[in-house]
Amino acid sequence: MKFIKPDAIKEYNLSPEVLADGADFALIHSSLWKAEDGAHKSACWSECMEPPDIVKAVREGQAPTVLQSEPKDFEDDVRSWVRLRRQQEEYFQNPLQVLLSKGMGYQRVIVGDIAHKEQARAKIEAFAAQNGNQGCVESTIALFEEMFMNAMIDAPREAQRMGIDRPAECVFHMAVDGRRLGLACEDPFGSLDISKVLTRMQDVYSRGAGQAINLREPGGAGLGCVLMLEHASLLAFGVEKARKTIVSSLVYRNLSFKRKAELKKSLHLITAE
Amino acid sequence: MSKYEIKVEKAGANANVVVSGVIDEDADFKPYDLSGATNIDLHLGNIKSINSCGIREWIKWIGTAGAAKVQYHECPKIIVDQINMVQGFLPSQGSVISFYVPYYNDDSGSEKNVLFKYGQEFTENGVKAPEAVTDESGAPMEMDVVEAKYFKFIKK
Repeated sequence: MKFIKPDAIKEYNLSPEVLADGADFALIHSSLWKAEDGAHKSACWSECMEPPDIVKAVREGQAPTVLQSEPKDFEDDVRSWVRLRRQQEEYFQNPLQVLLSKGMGYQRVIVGDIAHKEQARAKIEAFAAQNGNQGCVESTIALFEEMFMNAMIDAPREAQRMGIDRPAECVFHMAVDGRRLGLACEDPFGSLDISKVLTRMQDVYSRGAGQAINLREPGGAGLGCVLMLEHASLLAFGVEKARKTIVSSLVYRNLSFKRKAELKKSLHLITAE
Repeated sequence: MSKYEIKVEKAGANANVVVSGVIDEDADFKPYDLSGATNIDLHLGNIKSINSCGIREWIKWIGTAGAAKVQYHECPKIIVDQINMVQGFLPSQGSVISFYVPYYNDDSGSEKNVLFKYGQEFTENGVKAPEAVTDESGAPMEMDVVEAKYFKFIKK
């Protein structure tokens, strides 16, 4: 693996095993990243990018992944990234098994009807409460809410425009590892337009949520993806066009609000060829 | 049973409003027009969550207050976060009278929400946090917010 970092950064290192495993991959620090570096097996990594910078790096900088981790999680997250890119189809089968390399306690909640939202929310809230603190529950619920709306309201509507007419349904995946909780939402439409999502996120960050919010148009408020990135430590958008969309997130289980606010975030874009 | 509840009590030009539960895409504020009141007190302590559609409906609803004096009471953290993040969530003529601040003990992981009241723990000039906050075992707890971000609305 080509692992490029400025000399001044000492805390982030990768073992020889990880470097050897990702021999055809490139992990380039944000200070040295150029748009030409953007390729399926390359990622921009950093320790100092704020959410608007992350979105800019992905949208304008052509980075399919921006990876920012605590030093103690860095190697695990790099392994997950390599697995994600090498076996992308695995993400579309078991997203959290890819993103949480030491995950356990896998559960799924199937939502067959929009009327079942409260039951699904209760199960996910209970899972978060069993596995994390107040902040973990708050963020997990916030992510659930936005994922649910994307999957059960936005996705079928967008799919209809693509000529796909089928009832709304989705599956929530949940799992934990020692430090983080994973929540992913899978819908059978594959209608998420990642480019449109990123453009919208950039607009919200540049104008502010209060100016950018959709107050009048039909559809959502247009803040959901920004809210998801604000609550997650890692967010992934995966689309198999016209077949499946999986939005995944990782949330720290037992960090204080203050500590979580200090941590930087990661973003993966996964589009099936 | 509804996910949310809105109770409005009007007495002359005053309106006392209690909002509780989950504010999401199903929340319908239209039956609770705020026009006509000149003083509106909203008690928000029992709001459990608000999603992006709920935020939009809230902003449209609070707009029906017009030029009325609007005061938010017992704001939980999820509401303070929206006040700070979304301009218009607290109307320009509105103010926060009380809000919750999370406290945390790093060693035990204990959590607590402390109510900060206008004139006691904060004013327009800033925050004067309680001298000591402890958990049930008496262990000291620290304010668990990034102060510059969480108290941003106070300086506006």
